[in-house]
Amino acid sequence: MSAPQILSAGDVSRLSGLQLLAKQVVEGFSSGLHRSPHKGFSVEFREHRAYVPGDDIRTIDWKLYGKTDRLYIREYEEETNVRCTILLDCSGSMKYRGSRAGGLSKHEFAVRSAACLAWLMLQQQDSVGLVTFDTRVRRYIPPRARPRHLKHLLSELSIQQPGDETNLADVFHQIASQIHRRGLVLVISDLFGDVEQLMKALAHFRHARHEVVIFQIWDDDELDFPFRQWTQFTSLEDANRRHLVDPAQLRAAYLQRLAEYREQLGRGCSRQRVSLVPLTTSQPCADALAAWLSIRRRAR
Amino acid sequence: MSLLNPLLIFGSVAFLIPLLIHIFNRSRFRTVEWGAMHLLESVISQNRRRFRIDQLILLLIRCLIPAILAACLARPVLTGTGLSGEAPVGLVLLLDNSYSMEAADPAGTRFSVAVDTACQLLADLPRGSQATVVLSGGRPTLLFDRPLSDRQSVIRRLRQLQPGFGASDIAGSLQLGMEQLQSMTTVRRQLIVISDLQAADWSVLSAGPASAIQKQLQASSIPSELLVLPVATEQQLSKADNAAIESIELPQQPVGAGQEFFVRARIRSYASKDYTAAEVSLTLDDQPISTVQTALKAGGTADVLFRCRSETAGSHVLTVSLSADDLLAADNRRSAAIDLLDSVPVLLVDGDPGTQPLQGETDYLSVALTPWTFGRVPLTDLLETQVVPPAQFTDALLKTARVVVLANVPRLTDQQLEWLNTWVRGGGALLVTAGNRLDLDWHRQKFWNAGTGLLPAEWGEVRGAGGEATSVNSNATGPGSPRAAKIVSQRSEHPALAFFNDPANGDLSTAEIRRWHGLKSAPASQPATAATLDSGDPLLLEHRCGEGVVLQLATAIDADWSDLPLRPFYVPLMQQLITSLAVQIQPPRNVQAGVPVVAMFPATEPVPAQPVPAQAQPAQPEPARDGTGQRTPAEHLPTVTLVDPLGARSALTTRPQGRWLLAESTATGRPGVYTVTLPDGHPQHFAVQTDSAESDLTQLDATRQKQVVEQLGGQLLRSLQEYLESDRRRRHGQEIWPLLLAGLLGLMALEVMLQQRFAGVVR
Repeated sequence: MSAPQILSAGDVSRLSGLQLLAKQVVEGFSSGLHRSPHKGFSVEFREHRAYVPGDDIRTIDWKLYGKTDRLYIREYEEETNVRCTILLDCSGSMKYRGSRAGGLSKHEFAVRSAACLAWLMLQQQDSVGLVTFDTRVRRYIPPRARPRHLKHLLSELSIQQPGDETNLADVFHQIASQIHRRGLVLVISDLFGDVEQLMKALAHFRHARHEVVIFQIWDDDELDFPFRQWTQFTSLEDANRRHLVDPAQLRAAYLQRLAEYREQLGRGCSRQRVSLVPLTTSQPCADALAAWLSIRRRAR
Repeated sequence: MSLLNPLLIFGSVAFLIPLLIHIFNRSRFRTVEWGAMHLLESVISQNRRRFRIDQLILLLIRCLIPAILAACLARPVLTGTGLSGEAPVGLVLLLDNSYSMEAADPAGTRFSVAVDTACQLLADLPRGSQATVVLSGGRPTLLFDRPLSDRQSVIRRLRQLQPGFGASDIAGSLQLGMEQLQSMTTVRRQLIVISDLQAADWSVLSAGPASAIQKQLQASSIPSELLVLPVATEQQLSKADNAAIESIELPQQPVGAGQEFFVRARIRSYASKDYTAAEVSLTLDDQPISTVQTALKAGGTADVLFRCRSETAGSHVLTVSLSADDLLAADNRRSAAIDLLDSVPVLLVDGDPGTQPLQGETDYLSVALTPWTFGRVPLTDLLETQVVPPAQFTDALLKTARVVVLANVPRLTDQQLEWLNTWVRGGGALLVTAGNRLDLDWHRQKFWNAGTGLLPAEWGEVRGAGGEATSVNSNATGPGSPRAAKIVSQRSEHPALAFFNDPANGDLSTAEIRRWHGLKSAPASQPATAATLDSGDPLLLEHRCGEGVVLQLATAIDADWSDLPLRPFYVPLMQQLITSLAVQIQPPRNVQAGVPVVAMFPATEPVPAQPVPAQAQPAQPEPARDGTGQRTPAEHLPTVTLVDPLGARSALTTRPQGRWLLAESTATGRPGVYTVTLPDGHPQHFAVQTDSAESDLTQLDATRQKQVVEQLGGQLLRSLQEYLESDRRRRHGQEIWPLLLAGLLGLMALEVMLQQRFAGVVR
């Protein structure tokens, strides 16, 4: 447990804003406002029970009826507490703010998504922890299920500012060794780094029998490279690295390189049986939730 | 290479625009803080070199595009001479209109081909060009006073031209052409010679004048060209078969009406084949006289003799025609004008008449002058004699006489002398012969009058053997007697004695002159000596008095002082003498082309005997302004009509000369028969001849052609079509802007393509 931090006024407003947002998103989601194909919470499914008149018709498993020609309802059970750890990338590359992102940088988007996920899971009485990192672990908040823990998490999320370089592989190794009990690991990062090293680190997680879900945060600009005029690209992580190029010349090669990279990542992740969810900052945060939930449903 | 819009080439500076844009873009960059540097860097590092090359290529193309556009708009022209576009040309056409150009050609006559060629050349000239034409036949003449800009009128005039002039004066016409060329005001000048390159005309052009023309061409500041365009091809001229009538020979002595005379025609062949039966015919005033068939060898000549006579006196035209199958028909006819004299009335004033035959002074003379009449041979005499003693010598007799002979006349009365004076000065001919009856004082004082009188010289002392022969048969030239003089036999140009230049006609030196007067002439007047004795004394003196002529014979005309009458040449000598006196004052009827024809005829009304004042020439008829009372004779002078060989009529004004009126025309460039119709209706025919060398149609051979043209500093063209094409190409030049425009469009497409390819646009 870390020492309580002194929040500045801006932090407080950010915190309260985040809190409000997360609440709104989740409630809206759960009340069906959010367009999601999955209705209801994703709770553990226990068994089928024969239908008795008076049961909620919505719980009838029609697929089973199609197969067996008998009416069954699904019975859920409260899921047991899952120990979820959110890994939030705070490296410099997350600072990127595109023009189509609605003013959000990748980091801000990641923070919001993390906040929403944390709120949701705490409401489901799961325990959520947080690890913020760049080249090394910045802060580790172990998972707790108490409602007060949310504030803790949110305050931590809101004060984090991205910067410095990324070194995912080493950090993951480090985190993997720190988390003892198996649980769910949610990585919210742009995954800019060496793919091979990253895969090794993920293998470490998998070896420890963690379930890993990676939310890869993209900006639209990174995906389609819309630059036209001569641009000097300066690295967000290292100010000395800069290149003055004519983007029109590069574009095709860049996109090809991007596709290669993504494919490589995708292959690696599927080999490790890690879910890779690409999110773009122009999407609403609730999509993150929707994606996560659908994964949860599929997993069970 | 030259530019039609030269200023626009400065637009190629616009190539800087893409360059500047490139630099501007590079400097105005955005800065983006980028996260996915690992991706970007891997791309950049792999393709750095390619990016640079691609950029350079695109930049180059973009810079070339405005430069090429500017070059395109400046409309470059690849030209040969450095002058571009449709610059007006000053063209001098030298057209050969000698009569060899009338030779047949597959396309008509050579002249029609030449005119067509000239019209084509004129039609092809660019706008604003000037043109003039020099005709080289006969004498070089200009068709127009100054170069014309209106090509259509030049073409019209050309089409109206008729050929048929004399030989071409190539050197002179080239000179005239060069002068015209200098007077042109255009930037580009050409002298085009259209000729059949006949050897007869062109080989006369020696190296001297040719190189002078070449120097002129090169020295002029504006470049001028001399081009020679032959109209006849060589293969045509290898068969240059032509036969021509080279000359017509008329009798040298005057011929009278009713007298038979001979006409000799010489035919020359310039052909390579023999003419076996060429027909030569003679017509007199369009009446056929006779036709003769003659054989003509290739390259040879043949003479044909015609016998001819006409009963009517006056001017007649003899035409000899040849009908043979040859190329040039113009030289198969030749005309000559002959004047058949009515009988010439001769007045013989016998100063020593005799009662016996041949005793009188003029007996021998009258027999010699009218042999046929005396001989009672039915042939007509040309001369009609009338013998009178001095007392019966009157004015009335003078009116009808053409020649007066004063034979041994002692003296004349003052009145008679006055009549004689007037008559001679007005154009009469007088022969004065010596004798023993001469009143030497009167002769000296009145007749000779120190050189101002009619007599050419004063009768000096009598020389030679003394005493007279008592009979006509005595030859008092035995040894011991004073030596008789002989006439010096020398070549004489005097019309009376030129006959005897041919020794077959008689040898004057066989005569013996026993007595003669020495003749002393005044220093002021030098009479011409026609014959001399071997003693040094003149025998026959000639002296012009006003319009007339006086001959003085140092000896007697009968056999008293010499044996002239006994010589066989006496008859022709006397005839020559008298007839030459009668006819010598007529201007010639057969002249060369270019020489003026002069018609002379007696005035029918009295004209003041004093010399005509100089201002009253027929060319400037001006009315009397100052009213001094001197009436201009021009109002009283009749005009005569001249008809030229083409049938065109023109009026000629006359001017008085003594008792004659003269009418002159200088427009005799065209050979043929010219007829002047006198006021009394009689015609006078003139035959204008030309040199028959033009009948030789042989062309200069190829090497000689090249040589001549090179000497002139010109260029020999092979055909009109070739020239027109090369001229068009040279004039218009090769405009290469279409090429440049195609290149430009290609570059623009390339730029778009390359840009897309480099950017790797994926559809």
